[in-house]
Amino acid sequence: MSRRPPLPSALALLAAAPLAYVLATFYLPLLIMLVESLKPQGPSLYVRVLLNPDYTSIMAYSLVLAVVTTASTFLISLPAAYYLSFHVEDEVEKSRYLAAFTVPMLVNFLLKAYALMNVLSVLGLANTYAGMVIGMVYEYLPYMLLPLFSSFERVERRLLEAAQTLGARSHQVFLRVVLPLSLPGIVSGVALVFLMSFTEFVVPAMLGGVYGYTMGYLIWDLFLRYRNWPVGSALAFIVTLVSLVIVYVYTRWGLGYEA
Amino acid sequence: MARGVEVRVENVSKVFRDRGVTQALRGVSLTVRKGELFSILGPSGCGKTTLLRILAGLLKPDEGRVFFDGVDVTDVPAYERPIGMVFQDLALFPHLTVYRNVSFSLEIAGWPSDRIERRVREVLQLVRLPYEEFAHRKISQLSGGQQQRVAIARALAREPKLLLLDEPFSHLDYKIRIELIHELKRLQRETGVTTIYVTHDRNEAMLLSDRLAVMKDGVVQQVGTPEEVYRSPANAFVASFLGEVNIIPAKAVNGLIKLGDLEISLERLLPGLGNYTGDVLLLLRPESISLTPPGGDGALRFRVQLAEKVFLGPYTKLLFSGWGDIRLEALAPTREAAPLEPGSVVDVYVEASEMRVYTD
Repeated sequence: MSRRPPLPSALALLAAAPLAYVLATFYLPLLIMLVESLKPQGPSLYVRVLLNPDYTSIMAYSLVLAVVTTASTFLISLPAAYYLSFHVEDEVEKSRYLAAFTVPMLVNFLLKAYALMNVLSVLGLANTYAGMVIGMVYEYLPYMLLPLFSSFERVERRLLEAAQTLGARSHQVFLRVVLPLSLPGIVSGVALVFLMSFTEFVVPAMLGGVYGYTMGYLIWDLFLRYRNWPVGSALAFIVTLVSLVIVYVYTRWGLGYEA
Repeated sequence: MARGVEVRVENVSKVFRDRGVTQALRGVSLTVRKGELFSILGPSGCGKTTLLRILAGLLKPDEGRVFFDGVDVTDVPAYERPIGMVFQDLALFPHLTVYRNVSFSLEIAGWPSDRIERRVREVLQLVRLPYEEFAHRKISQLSGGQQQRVAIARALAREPKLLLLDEPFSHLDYKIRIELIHELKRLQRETGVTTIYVTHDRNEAMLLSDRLAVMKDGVVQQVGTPEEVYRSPANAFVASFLGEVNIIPAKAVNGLIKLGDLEISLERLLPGLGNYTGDVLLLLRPESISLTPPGGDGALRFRVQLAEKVFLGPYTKLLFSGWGDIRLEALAPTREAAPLEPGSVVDVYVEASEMRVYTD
């Protein structure tokens, strides 16, 4: 027989406060928005939005941009994280490299964006698709690099030696040991960057020129320029649902490889 | 039958710092014969694991060369050496099944899958893990002893010419350890692979080895069969590392030492010391001290007093106080030791040939 304490423990109260905060500031307003979007026409509004090619084409366009951004970020981060984790032996040097990648996260975004705009202008890439992708990668690099790096760090080094004594060269060690064991970090880095870049609108708006009209921009317009809250909320919910489904399916697939 | 290599290490030195501790090998030379089961025995930090890693190709020596069958392999990377290695923490791949752990080296070598399956069955049988029951388990679903067997199977899968083991059984229960040591011995005989086994446990080393090397502070102290090294240790360290030993300091004057009321000529113990003057150490195994006079006339007789008795089953450990502050530890059959009571004064006998003298 286990006796329950008569009152919630103090520790539970510690968790309750932030929970209440999230409920009040996130879930409740979100629920209100959902109700608002259904008020004028009910669920038929969602069907209409989904059947409107103006909206779906922008969604597809954003999806492609998110995939391009995620893939580019991944391809740039993977070798960097690998090198940092496996080939920089000095811990101080390691943390310096790591800081070089993460300090940009601490700098005000507008400052970074304007600085980058200057560079892109000089290169003739201002207001181009490539320039916009460069800006996206620039913003999301740390979110990919850090999970990759930390999952590489968790790979037991002895396993790499074991693989070598079994005849594996370094690329085989990487593909057969390091990669499968780092999968959780890879999956979460990719999911994170994909989710964020799918709804991003500041970077495309500032750096993309005519290429910058993404889903995030559209929703922004609907809310703030056209004051069309029901359609704006409907689109926002659809985008959220689509990205959750994509990430869920992808995560199941990605981690299933390990089991 | 013997498809192992001969391993020759020539004058290998290595210095490096690992977590603030300087590990070193100093001028290590030794030869391990084809098909031999060879142990490297020493306390932690003596460099035995460093030496093993150099043999595996995971570390490069600062100086010296390593030869397999006379071919210099010093600069050959681990993945090109014909080796199998069992690590102290096993280093089994946690994301792979037993089957895929064992087949790892075969997949790398590009074997066709039907041949791989045949070989995996063969090797699992060799280490006595039934294929049907274990092949598709995850590593986390195995006991410690079973994991050991998988590690050995994985190391043997592609028929290496040299098997390297780094204290593989040190974290297992005594009973399973002994069982696995006998298994390893059988395996080694069946496969004929040259095997080098690193351990700090003298019992394992003596039970297992054809020959062994004792190391201390990065230097090989002695190489020989377990019996040679036990009975004729090169120095006091080797003697005490391989078993209990009485170490008796004495002063020699013109080849004569005094032990209590006994005067002994060093010439009798070690020819060539007839005129030696200086400090000596006498080494004597507890089981060399006997309670009954031996047949020949070579025995030395000491009068001592029994201070303490420790019953060990078939044997009894006897702690005697001798002359001065000398303590002598003896190991006698219990039936001989039973009548003795602490405090009694007795004569004990030592064959001169059982006593070792060291002048350093």
